[in-house]
Amino acid sequence: MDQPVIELKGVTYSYNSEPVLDNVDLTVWAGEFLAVLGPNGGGKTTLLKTILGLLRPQKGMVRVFGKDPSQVSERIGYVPQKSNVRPDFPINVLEIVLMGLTDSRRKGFRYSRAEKELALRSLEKVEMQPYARRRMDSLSGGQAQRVLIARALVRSPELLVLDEPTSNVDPHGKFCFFELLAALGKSITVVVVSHDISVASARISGVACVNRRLLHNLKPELTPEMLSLLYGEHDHTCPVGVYMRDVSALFGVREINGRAGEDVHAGEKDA
Amino acid sequence: MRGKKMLEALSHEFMQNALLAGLLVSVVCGVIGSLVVVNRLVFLAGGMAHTAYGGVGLAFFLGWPVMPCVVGFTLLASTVLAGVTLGRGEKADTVIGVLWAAGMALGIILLDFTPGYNVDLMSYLFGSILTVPRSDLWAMLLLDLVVLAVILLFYKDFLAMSFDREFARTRGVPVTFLHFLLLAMVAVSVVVIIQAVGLILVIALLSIPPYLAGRRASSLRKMMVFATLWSILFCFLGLRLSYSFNITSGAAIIAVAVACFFAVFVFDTLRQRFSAHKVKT
Repeated sequence: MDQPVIELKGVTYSYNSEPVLDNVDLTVWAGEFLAVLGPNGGGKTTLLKTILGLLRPQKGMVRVFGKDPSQVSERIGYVPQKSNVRPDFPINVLEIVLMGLTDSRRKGFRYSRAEKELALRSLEKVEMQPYARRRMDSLSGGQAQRVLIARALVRSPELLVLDEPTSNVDPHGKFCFFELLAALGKSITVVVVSHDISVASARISGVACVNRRLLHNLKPELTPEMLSLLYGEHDHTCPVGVYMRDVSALFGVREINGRAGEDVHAGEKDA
Repeated sequence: MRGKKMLEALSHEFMQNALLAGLLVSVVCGVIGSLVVVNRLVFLAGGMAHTAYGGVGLAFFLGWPVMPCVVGFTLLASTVLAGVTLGRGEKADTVIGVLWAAGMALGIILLDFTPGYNVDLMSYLFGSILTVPRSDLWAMLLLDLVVLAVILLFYKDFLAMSFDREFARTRGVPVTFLHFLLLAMVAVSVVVIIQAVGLILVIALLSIPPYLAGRRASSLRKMMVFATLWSILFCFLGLRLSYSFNITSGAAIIAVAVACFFAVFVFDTLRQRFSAHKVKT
């Protein structure tokens, strides 16, 4: 029987007794391309850090490939927010990718020829091999993001986790970026965390919305409940209500709380 | 004529010792200074240098040998500072400022209580590279070797931690341990550098050579090597000026470093403006 790649059961995580994730369940299967959407402060990054094993939930269980995340770090590729990375750092593209091979048990300061070849092959996958000797600060936002993906891919991971990967990338760059991810997604499981829901619509296979609670749809569609979870309940005259209508059209949501596209009125059904 | 004067200076043992001390200081400045700059720990390194004065006071108060006592005291201070700053980033600046002042105050109070105290305070504040004895050179060499061995051993881990701590954690890099280890290395380096330029000027030698080296270096390794070379240049030119004009050697070294810093800064700014102008036309 197939084993899920990611399995979260009843996960609760709080900062200063304020729960950011509250009793969250999530199952991701091999080959999925999942977009995790949510507002700022909704718990997306906390969710991602629990999957990576950087945070331990106060309640619940996290399993990646059936084990504790810290035991399978070799099988996970991680692309952090670009803002984590110092732009003026004295480092070239090849060395950034080689960093993905860092193993704290292996000491010294030299990289082997095999490691360099592996890094160059990884750069080739994201079409950045010609930039191998360039400094990081000479690259555009989109190019830098590709280098960080190459670093995550250098160990040939089975799960790729990306945190807000397109936050500093222009619309064309975003499109190319998701094309690249979709091509990779055929062979590995991809989880993309973003607050920008428009970029995730094109190539994803499933969507999860997190705002303290989590709702997961195995299809690339936002349900009315998901929109309510993301943005709360808004009248159609409210700007947020108008935005929700646009989003619902983008994701093919036919009805939001009983009304068709033009009359978005979350919560009206309950009323 | 000038060459003859310099050759004559080099024949003195104190000058030979000073040049060797400059070389040993430059190695730690280049290697540890680069890590200090890329990890944005310049303020913390300055705080640690001033805290070291508490160790000087303690050594005289207890009648212990100065260098081992300052090493021990500064290592202790580095452990406290590492604990306080871990995960707090720039928010830790207030605590660093407090420890900075506390170390200085403790040193002065202990020296006040020291009976028959008649040590030249200036030599610890502004350095005395021209009076470094051979025995201190051996101790400096030992500290240099310790620093180099640690950095060579953990280079890849330090690189990953300095570039992106969160990613480093996912790769199993012991970030917390390395943070404490780096600050311990800064503490050891501070003690070495105090010999040359004194604790007040340590911050300049830990930041100016790495800044100049980091502008063009394509790797942290190259930055460390170039920063070491810049530092050797500053130490040797500073010593030359100090000998020729009979000025304090530590201050002369820093004056050369600061002059180079501003010359490069102005050159870079003009070059940027010139290239921007060329693009427009």
